[in-house]
Amino acid sequence: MNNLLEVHGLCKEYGSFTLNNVSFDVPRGYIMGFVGPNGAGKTTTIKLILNIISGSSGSVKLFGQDMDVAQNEQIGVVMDTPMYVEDWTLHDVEKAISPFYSSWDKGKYANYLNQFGLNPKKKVKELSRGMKVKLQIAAALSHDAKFLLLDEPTSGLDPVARDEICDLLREFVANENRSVLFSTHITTDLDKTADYVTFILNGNIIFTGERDALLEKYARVTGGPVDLSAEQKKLVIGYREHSTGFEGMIETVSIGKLPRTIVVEEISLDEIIIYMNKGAKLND
Amino acid sequence: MTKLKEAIHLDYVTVKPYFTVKNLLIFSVVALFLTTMSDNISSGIGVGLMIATLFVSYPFVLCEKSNLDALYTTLSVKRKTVVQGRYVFTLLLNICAVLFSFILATAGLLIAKAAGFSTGIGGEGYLESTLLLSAIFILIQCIQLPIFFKLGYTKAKVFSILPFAVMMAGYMAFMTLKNISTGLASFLDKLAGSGLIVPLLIALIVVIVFISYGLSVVFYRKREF
Repeated sequence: MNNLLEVHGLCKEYGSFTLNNVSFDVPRGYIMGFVGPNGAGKTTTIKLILNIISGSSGSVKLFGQDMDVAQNEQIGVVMDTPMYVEDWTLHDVEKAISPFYSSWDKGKYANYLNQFGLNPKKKVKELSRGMKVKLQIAAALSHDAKFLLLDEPTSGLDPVARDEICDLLREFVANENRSVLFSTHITTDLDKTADYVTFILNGNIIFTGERDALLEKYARVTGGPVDLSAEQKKLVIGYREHSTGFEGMIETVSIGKLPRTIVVEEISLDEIIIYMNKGAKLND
Repeated sequence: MTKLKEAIHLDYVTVKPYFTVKNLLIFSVVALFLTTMSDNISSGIGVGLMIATLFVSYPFVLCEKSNLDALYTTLSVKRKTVVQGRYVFTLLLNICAVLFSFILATAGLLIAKAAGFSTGIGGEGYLESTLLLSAIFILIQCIQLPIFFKLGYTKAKVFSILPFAVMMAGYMAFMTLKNISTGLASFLDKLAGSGLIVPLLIALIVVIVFISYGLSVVFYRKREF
């Protein structure tokens, strides 16, 4: 069993939004970035994995077993805002959640709070955003979670706090029986941490696999205004014309179909998301 | 069973920050004032039950504010257990409110009696009136809880006055029927004389609690957070 989490064929309808046949696997010992623009379906997928909402079809397996609410004990959940009462002190947080975890370690929690510079007497509402994320990580690590599920943990954080959190995640997967699914739209965080990436757009999985394979799959193209025929333009994802020419993204397998005058460059994760999003809008 | 115990504990920890000395003092002053003014222990118990009814809505307020409904799932608590926990927590809250306000009101009346302001601890029938008050407040809570579970606090806030309207309408309908029907009036007199009113009231409350609980489970299972 090389995959810690297996998600297959998840579907969910929310008014006009449809999560369509979402499937991906998170390998053991790795961090998977779950990327996509806002409203792509990242949070819905995470809620389905955790059984917070129920889908119309599909399955989720953790350690090869069908997921149900009881298995959430093995998952450490970190949301962009913590699911704790604002008036709880960090000591109250422990009192509230620790009885639910058979493997809760009081000493570990105290150590993590100390390591993260969190005062147990402080109230949740007195913490900064970065501290709230660290508090959730401290709670997740104190019950010996095997799988961390993070939903936009770094959004709104300064670069120093984001770097600290990325370091923590790397430490977490140093144990090869643990994995992380890290939803974000700040792709620079994934450059430092993620070996695997799943890219979701408008409720559809566009790519899932090694991050480098995604970066190799696409390339950025730029050129003069009259360089491309109508057929060639169709190959360019997120094609955009401006006064000096055009820009867009192309699958590397199609590069040979473009004229030699076109400039082909390496592409970043951010650019892939942007061009994919533009391409989807153009197709609409 | 363990998860149920933990869910009740979580509800307690959730509202604990709001069990403040300031709130306790306000409640005590109001309860003591009404008890001594009416010379009846039931007034103090009524205040206690009113406060308990207010606190019943607190977990729902905080669930919505801090997304605790999602937290319950991440803590592996099934939805049915959350509902069970909330009902047991409500029951415990009512018991504590009745006991505390009973002790407070009794002490207040005894002190007032010693000072010559009161005649005793509420005269005849105070146990019956306490039971009736408890039944009224439990009925209010039993109507409110399924609405909170279905809609969440913000949307349900408007409907939470529904039980008061239902009680008022029920009372008016009952009094009208009693006045126009001599048969009903004599039946009620006989019932009062037979001593069956208390067991019947308890049985009715138990039935209402179970119906309310069943509805809450059905509603909460369908909620999405």
